[in-house]
Amino acid sequence: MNSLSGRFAFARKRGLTDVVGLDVGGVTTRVVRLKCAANAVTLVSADLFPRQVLPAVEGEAAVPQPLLLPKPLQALYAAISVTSPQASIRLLSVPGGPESLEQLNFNELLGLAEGAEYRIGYEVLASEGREQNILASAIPEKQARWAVALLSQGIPAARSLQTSGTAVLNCFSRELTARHDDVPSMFVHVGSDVTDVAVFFKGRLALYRQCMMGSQLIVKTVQQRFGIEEDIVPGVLEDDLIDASQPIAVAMEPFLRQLVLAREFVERKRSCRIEKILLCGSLLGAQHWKLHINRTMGITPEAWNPLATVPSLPDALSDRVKGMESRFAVAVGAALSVLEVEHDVSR
Amino acid sequence: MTYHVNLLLDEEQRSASRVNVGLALRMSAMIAAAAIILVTMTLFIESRDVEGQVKRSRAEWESLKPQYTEVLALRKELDTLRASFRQIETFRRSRLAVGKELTQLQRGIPEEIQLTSLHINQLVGNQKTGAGFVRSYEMHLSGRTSGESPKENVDKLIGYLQTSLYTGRVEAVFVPPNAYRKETARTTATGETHTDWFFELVCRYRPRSFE
Repeated sequence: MNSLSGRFAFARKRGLTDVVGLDVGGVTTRVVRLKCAANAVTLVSADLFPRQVLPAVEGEAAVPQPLLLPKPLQALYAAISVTSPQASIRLLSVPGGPESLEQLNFNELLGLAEGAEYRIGYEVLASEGREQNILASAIPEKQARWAVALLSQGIPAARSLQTSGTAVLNCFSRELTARHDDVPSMFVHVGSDVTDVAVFFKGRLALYRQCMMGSQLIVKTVQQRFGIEEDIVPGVLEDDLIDASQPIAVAMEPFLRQLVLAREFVERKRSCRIEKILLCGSLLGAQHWKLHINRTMGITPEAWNPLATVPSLPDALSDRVKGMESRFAVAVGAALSVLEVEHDVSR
Repeated sequence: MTYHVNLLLDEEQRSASRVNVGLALRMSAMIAAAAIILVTMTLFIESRDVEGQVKRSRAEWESLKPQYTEVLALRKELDTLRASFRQIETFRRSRLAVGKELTQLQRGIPEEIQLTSLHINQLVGNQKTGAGFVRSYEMHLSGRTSGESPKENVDKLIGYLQTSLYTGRVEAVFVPPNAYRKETARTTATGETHTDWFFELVCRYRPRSFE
């Protein structure tokens, strides 16, 4: 931190009431704008933009074109979340007091690839006796710089940079508190390449898993199984003309096994029973996801709309967004994390 | 509960304000410095001006000082003249009760003395203390005396003049040089020879009051 910005750090600690949440690096760029007034968060606008291609970890450093947002999405500050297959997120239980955190080898704990430069961060979620529960995440340094460079000029100015897996937890948490009375629940956010699974017990994160499969794997499986063009796959997945459930079940098996293990782990550790499974994200062939999860877990998953988590203004959603609402969980979570962090500070 | 693992570096955080705080501070510092320099220069120039004005005023004063002194002297003289005029006016309007004085004088003249002349002059002079003008009188007496001790008769008259109060304050009574002399002896009808002494007296005094 340079000395000048350090001196004015106090000014930045003032509560943010108007934030843009960005989800970049996925198939599309999702942007939402949230405003907070009198402790009530409102969705001002939400829109989808063309994909911002995430730079490869091995490739040359990429400098993106600055992201120009339309007026309804222009807030002063932004919370960026990066969807990256190379990102790593872990919920860790670390023995020892706060001082022990300095000694941790996060590269090892996060399973980061050797030789690659990562930007690592963590947050202490709970401190129980001589054990610290921390949420740690990392993304390749090159991708972090690239994401920040998207907002290098004008407004909004970046206030936060997160991995999509940590950002989406805020949306889960809010949905759980607002609509599901904090019952033990499992949230599944399906990305194009990575799927996030989070289990909440008594309103707190009890487990997080990052599964390295997503909607693209389903698309590729169907494409290969039936020898069809990629463009046709969504149609095949949505109608019942071709039965693709068998190959999809095979493709989803590792993921479903992860779900079972996650449920067993939480139920055993917390002596509870998971009552709900909530599903959002790139739900291409949503009925297949629901079917296979139901068969495996014995619970019918509910597809939920992250944009409905917060009240919205009448014309908040553009036409492009309609039918794609479930994809905004990460963007909403990123914005909420900044708004709520500021709210916590003010308290 | 929030889950916020912020990977943004401090140096990557920037203000959303269109006004760059650093630039604004630097600009403010420069403006303040410029203002200080301007004020200092203005004060310096003003002090130089004031210094020049003082010099000019001093030179002007030096040139005017003789005239001023002259004016003061003239004013003082004017005041003196006015006072003189007032006194003269007073003199003109006042009268001395000469009759009473002469009566008093008559009473104190020894019988052996015969006055032959009396002349009173008025002297107007400037008092040394500067309190204004004073008026005194000089009475010239001349007369003749005879008898066994003519000198004593004259001294008696002098003593009377000095002690008598009718004249007010007597400044001096004296016999001018060579003013006491023997006259030629004369022979009376009975054939006796008398020797008369002629004398003159000057008595300077201030009258007790004017009418």
